[in-house]
Amino acid sequence: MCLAFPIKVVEVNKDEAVVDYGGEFRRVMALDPVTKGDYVLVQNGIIIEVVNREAEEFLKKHEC
Amino acid sequence: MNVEHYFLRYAFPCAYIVKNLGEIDEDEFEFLKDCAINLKPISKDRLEKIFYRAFEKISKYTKEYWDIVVMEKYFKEWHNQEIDKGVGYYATAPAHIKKLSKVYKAKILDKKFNTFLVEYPEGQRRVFDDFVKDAQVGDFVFIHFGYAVEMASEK
Repeated sequence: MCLAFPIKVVEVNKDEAVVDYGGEFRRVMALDPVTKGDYVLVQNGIIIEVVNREAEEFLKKHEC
Repeated sequence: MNVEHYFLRYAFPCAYIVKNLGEIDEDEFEFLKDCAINLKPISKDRLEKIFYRAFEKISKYTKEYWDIVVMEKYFKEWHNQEIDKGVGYYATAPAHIKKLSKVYKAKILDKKFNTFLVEYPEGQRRVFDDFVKDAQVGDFVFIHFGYAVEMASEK
């Protein structure tokens, strides 16, 4: 569970996606459409929201 | 439902945070989850100790907070106002955290696995259905972080 950071989607396969937790790749469930490159919030292994707009602002501020 | 459980269901997402901070261990987290979902008894003292940050905020409004009407007002009005005003942590919190932290009324668009896709004023997101298992597509619920907390009327 990590709702604190927007996480990048690096691969999408049907209802599953691979996300990049700062270099560690994990498989999560994508119950709704997501696109490679989207920034998402994940809880309990499920993508709960796409937050591209907020992520851009967040990453800029934190120089990620 | 008693006031302890009403509070705990709204506060439960914060248990993930206090666990990450090392303030509670895995066993205590699971105990809180069990209490929140299955309405197992939990004392007011224990809740005040674990969720002391919430009680600091509520206390600014009233000391007589162990009352469902007061708790409802806190989570649905005062809590959101604190976030909008940028009080404390919220002064520097990122936009996506503020959105998650606020309590919104949302409409259920889809039900899949143990989640609902909901439409809320900021867009759409998935929330877990543990607290409102009977809710159906078209129903309204109040959401907080990753959870649908309770049923809401359409008005």
